[in-house]
Amino acid sequence: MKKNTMMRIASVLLVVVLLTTSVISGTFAKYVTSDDGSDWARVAKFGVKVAAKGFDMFKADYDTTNTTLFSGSSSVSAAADDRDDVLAPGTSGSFADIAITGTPEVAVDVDIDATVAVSDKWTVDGLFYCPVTITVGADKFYGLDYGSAASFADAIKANIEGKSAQYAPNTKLDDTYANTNLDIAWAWAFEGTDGKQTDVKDTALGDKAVTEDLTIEIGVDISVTQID
Amino acid sequence: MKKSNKRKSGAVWLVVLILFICVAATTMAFLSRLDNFLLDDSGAISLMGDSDAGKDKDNQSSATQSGSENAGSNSQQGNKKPTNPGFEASDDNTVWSTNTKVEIFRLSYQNGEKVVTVQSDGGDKVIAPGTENSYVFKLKNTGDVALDYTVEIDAFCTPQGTEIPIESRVNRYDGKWIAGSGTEYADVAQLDKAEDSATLGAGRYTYYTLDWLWEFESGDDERDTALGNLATEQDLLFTIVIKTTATESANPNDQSGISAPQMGDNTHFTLLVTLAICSFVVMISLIIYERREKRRENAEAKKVEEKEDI
Repeated sequence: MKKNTMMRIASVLLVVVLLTTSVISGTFAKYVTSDDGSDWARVAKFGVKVAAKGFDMFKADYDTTNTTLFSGSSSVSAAADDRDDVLAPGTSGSFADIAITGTPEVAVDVDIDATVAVSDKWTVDGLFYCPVTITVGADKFYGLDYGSAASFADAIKANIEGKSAQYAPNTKLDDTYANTNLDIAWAWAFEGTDGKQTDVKDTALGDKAVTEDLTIEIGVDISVTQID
Repeated sequence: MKKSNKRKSGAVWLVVLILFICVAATTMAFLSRLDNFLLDDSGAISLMGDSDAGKDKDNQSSATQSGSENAGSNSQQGNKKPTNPGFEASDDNTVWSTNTKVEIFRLSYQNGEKVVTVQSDGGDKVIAPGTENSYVFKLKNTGDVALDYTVEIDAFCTPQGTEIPIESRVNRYDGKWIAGSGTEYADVAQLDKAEDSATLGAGRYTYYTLDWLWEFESGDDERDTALGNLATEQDLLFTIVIKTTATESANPNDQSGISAPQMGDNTHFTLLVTLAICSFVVMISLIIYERREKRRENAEAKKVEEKEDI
């Protein structure tokens, strides 16, 4: 009987505890909530490379003409060298590759700055005579088509610098600059076929070169800069 | 005599209709009052682990309750009605939960002339010299009791040791700067330490604006170029994590924060619908009654005519 009473009391207490637990749990619990937002970004790729190979266009086997190429570029590692290279009838050379490669995720400005200087000593009988052909990509510039050293130099310079342009993000620069677009080459034909180049004048130039410097200087400075 | 009965009958039904509407309205009012005497279990925490404690069902936050943390502060409330706390962190597009992806950075950026100058080549968001953005996030107390909240910001570069010259500043709506200032931006290390704590009154909200930028002319083009070139070989990441935590305030009646504008129509929609339904039922009943009456009268008229014929 005593046991039964105890059981009853215990049962009642259990029920009361269960009931009050549900009530006071709502009173004593503390509300804690946490949210978080996050985001990440990666550094946009640049990865533009400017490379020049074979900047020593004029061979060093001759000693009458001073030429330099690809001088003073902040973006291209090639630098001018001071050696004297020479031009002569029947000689030619390729400046070879100037290549700009990469697919930057930023808009870029490809700025090509050219320095072209043709000595005004390229004269025979007082008239400009430079039977050298300079090739820039697919464009040819034949010295004898020009009336002065300055106009010949300006034409080459304008052509090289005309390849400067701005590009939107993710433009593959290789498509424009990694093929032959920026190749610069030179040639002095051994025998002229157009009547403008003659052996007599070529010989006169050679004689003149003994005492005077007949030079052609071409420098290319390429910089690829992000556009803001 | 018949007409008089008919009129009387119509008047009675009109009275019945009015009384019925009045009774319906009274019942509704009574029930709504009675609701105050019932145990409000909306703030109670289920012993079964159901965390549906708040009203904010849209809030997918990882709300957790702890019974051991604040017994003292709540005991001060004595026999007060159970509270219904709720907290929501969000921006214009997303209500935050755990590890919510937000839009602090972007896939592409335009310059002042609306020309795209930076564009990710994939689905990753990117940063580059000259890029910047502002991100606004809002913290809202959706409950009926004040909350103490904290905002903590983690900012870091990956791989560890990478130094990306991102600068940032974080501003609270009331002008308090928790990183940087109106004239100065904070570096990554300073942003990483940014933290703010405050109280948000019931139904009130606050917002923060996070501005970041990578200066185009930071004075170190070589470093920027090196980072851009290195990024072609490996991912150089900048991450910002904004953590918010809210707990019930010791001062439940605190009114800090911006009060949300009153929105919507507060008319007792339920009451009106109930009245409309009741009216409809009464109207249908009247129509049925009228028809029956007509039939009855017609039948009686027929009988009278038959009697007269006989």
